[in-house]
Parts: sequence; C-alpha cells; structure tokens
Amino acid sequence: MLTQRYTGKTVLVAARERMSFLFDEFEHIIVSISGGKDSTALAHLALVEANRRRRKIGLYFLDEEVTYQSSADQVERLMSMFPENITKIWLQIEFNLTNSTSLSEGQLICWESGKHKLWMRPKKEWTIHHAPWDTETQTVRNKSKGFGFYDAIENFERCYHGAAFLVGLRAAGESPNRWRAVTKNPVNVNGKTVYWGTKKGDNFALYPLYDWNFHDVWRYIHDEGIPYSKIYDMQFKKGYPITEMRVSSLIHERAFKSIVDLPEFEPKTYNRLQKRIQGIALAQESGKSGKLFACRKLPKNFTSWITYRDFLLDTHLDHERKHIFVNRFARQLNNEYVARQQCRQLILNDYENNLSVDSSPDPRDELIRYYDEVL
Amino acid sequence: MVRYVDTIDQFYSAKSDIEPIYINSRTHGKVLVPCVNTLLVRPSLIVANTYNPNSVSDDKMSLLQQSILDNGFAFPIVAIWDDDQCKFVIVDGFHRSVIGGPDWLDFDYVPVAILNHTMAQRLAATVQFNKARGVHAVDLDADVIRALIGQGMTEEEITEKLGIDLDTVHRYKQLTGIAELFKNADYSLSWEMKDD
Repeated sequence: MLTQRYTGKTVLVAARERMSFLFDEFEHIIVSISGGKDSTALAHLALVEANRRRRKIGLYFLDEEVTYQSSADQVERLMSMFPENITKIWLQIEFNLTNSTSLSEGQLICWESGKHKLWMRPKKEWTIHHAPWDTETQTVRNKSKGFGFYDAIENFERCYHGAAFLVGLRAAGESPNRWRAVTKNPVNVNGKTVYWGTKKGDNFALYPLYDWNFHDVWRYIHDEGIPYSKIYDMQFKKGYPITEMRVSSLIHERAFKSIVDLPEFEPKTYNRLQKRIQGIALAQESGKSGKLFACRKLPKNFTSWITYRDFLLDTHLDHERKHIFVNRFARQLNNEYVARQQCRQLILNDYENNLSVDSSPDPRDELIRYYDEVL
Repeated sequence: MVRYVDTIDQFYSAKSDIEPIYINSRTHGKVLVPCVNTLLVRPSLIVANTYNPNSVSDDKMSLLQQSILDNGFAFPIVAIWDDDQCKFVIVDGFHRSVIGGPDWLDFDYVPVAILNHTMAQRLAATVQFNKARGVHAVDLDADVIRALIGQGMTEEEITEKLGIDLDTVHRYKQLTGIAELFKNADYSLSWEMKDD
C-alpha cells in the first residue's frame, strides 16, 4: 500500500538531496519559471547545485505577454543570477490565450505579429522570438481553439529527449486532488522509483519542492537573500492573506480578481492592458463583488438563473462561440443549479470549458422532497 | 461678492444676477466654470438625489470631516435647482453635505455650485464625478507615509490625518517586505511516498 511517511529531515535538506540526485541522473535539466515565489526558490536551489558541479541548466519562461511587469522583471533577475550556469530560454512567441474579461474578444494572440505597438512590453533582444520547433508539424490539442498555451509547452518539451523539467509544484497546502494526480503514476528514473514526478513523452516532469509549505519557500528566499516579485510585498501591504498571494496571469478564467488591484500595484501595466484587450475596465470595477463575475448572486432584474442564462445566450455577441455554448448546454440538465454554473461560463466567456459544469440534479430539490415527505 | 441664500426667494433674486463665467480651451473652445458662482446656502434647502450609486465607508467619512477641518470646504457641493421641489438637488458632493449636516459639523451654510442640467445630464454628471478619479499606487502611498514619519509626524497623527488604521501604518512602515516575516519560521519536516 502506498503511504506517506516522514523522513526525519527538513524539507530543505531533502530538497537538496533530490537536487543532487537529479544532477546525478540527468544530463539535461530545465527549470520552468514564472516569476512566482515557488519557481524562484526552485531555480535558486537548482542553480546552487549547478554552480557547485560547474554545470549548465536551462531556465525556461513561456512568456504570456499579459503579465505583471514585476513578473518579467523577476524572470530577468533570475536569469542573470548565475550567468555561467544558465542557458536562458525565454520564449516570446505567438499563441492563443483565453480572454475571460471580454465577450466580443474571446481570444488574445499574445505577441501577435504586426501588433508590436500594442504589446504589453517590447520583446527583448536576447529572447526567443520564433518557435524553436517545426511549426508545420506542431501538434494542436484542439484545432477549433487554435495553438494555445499548453500546445506551446508540449511542443517545446518535445524539442528535448530524456531531459528533466523541474516544476515548482507543491502538494502541501494545495488541494489533495492536485497531489493525487501527481503521485498516481510514479516514474522510473534509471531503475529508481520516483513518486514526485511524471513521464512526459520522452522527458520527465519533476517536483522537488512537493513537500514544501509556503513558509518554507519564504524562509529559503529570505535566508538566501534571493530577490522576489514586488507584487508579493504589495499584496501584503494591501492585507491579502498569506496563502492567497499569487502572481498569476492577468486574463485567464480565474485571474480577473488580480485585475481589481492592478491600478494600485502597477498603474502603467493597467494602462497598457486597457489598450491591449477589451473588457478590462469592467473587470477592474466589478471583479471582487460576487454579482457579476463570480455569479454568486442573481442580478436583481432576473427571477431565475435559467432566465438569466437564456438572456445571456440570446444577447451573446459572438455567433461562433454562442454555438459552442448552445450545443454544450443542450447536453446538460436544465435546472437552477446547472443554470447558475452555465451563467458563470457565459460571463467568463469560458467556451473552452475550463470551469466545467456539474450537470446533476439540483441538491435543493432533494431537500424539498425530503421535507415534503416528513411534514 | 459672496451670495448667501437663506430662502427660496433669495435664490430666485440671486439667480438673475449670476453671470456665467467661461474659460477657453485651446482644443475644445469655451468651457463653463460654475464654481466661480458658488453660493452659500442653508443646508435645509438641499436634498439628496435618489440615484447616486456611490457609497463611502465610515472611516472615509471621518477622513472627509478631517479634510474639511484641515483644508477648509474647498470643493463646493454641485447641485441643480429643482423648481418642483423648490430645493437644490445634489449632483455631486452628497457626502460633503452629510458632513456639513447635523450629525457631523452642523454648518450654518454650505457652498453650492449650480448646474443647469436635464435629468439625463445629471445622471451622467454624477457618474462622471464619482468615477473620474485616481487611485493611490500602493508603493507610493507607503512612500508618503514613510516621508511623513521622517518629517516627525507620529503614527497616531497619521491615523488621524490620513484616515488609515494603525495596522496599515505598520504594514506601510515595513521597508523589509514579506520574506522578512518568515526569517524565524522553522522548516517543515520532509515526507515521502512509500510502497509497502
């Protein structure tokens, strides 16, 4: 039986041992970084080991363009930390992103050619400007949505064989589901079973910080004097709970909350963003209230979620996407419980079905039936 | 010349004397300046509008009172004259009028600038006044507080003058940042998955 066991070491000692193991077993090591705290700590741990062994590792950043300026700054700082031990892999290439803040402009093509005047930031001279793989034969998960974020990751990883991609994923404090997904299929690394990784095609994704808590990450960053994204200090000053501090993308389905405080955190980024994509002002003003984007409360001029959903569908601005929603909803149950979730998909323009709808009977009906019988 | 308005009749006679004042914009031509013709009006002649969606929290109301005491009543209440009600109806400055009212400073007169607007124009004006304003960049706000402390202002004075609580002052004072908070945290114990 698979059980979880304490080792008697601290997470820092254990992570250094894991790092040493990875450098013993793998010739190619690439660390995925985002500008966030977890990947910052991970990159530093890996670089210290690389420096000790006089080896070179890749620092890899897939740049979504629509990010905090502080994230780009942080990536740049990380990439200049141990110059002799780093291969810089900063991708600024075209791919599609979902824009959940706008109904008329459902997709953003980041780094779209010909739009360089609108880009959130200019491309850097030394970053990678064109896909380093054969775009004629590149794979696309879903043709109707086009080449997206995950396609970019997959095609990039396929450029390598037998490489270790290190990711700052942590199980501690995160959802158990997330961790179960990670440990489900242990990988075999040269005869050794490793529970903190998955096989990805020819390569491996590995999570050396899987047992770290957020306070371990901050302690490490403090002790080593590593620079980190300014956004965390601003979120702290604004009184965010420590566990809710995130330096995420600015426009995907769950990111509209981060736009609320953007004018206070990075006024220049906010101004650029307004020019770059539609729907930002509304997201900024209403993002935190449960009424519009979270769909927790029915707007006062509607009497049911079903009528609100039908209204949203009838008035949908994008005919192609409307079709996707109509077809999808036709396969789902028609009750208030389901309709509320469908409203959320419509409001967030989630035609990709990332916030999936639980199509089951309204739990309140069961309760009403129960009381009907009892009373 | 300062015009006082105690009664409706006084307003009607003052109205005919008021001469609109304009300034010239290089890009948009003549622009009206109602604040030059501000009247000092009895608060009993002023009523709120029924549509203003703006809300101000209690701590910001205290700050508004403090601002009026420290800086004077520098921004007149903006209103239209409603012939049906025989009252000034507020377009902007509802919360200033509340501060001037009996629950707070209880003024004898408050300054009112008068617009000549239709209902649609009033609705639009209220939204324009409410929304066309800035927010404070968090790190600059913190800089201002550190500068005030450098000028010798105490934390208590800052909470009173700027309308922010002590906790916020402490956060802003922290030059060190979030990582510093965890310097004494113990590392967690490591665990692993075992198949047995």
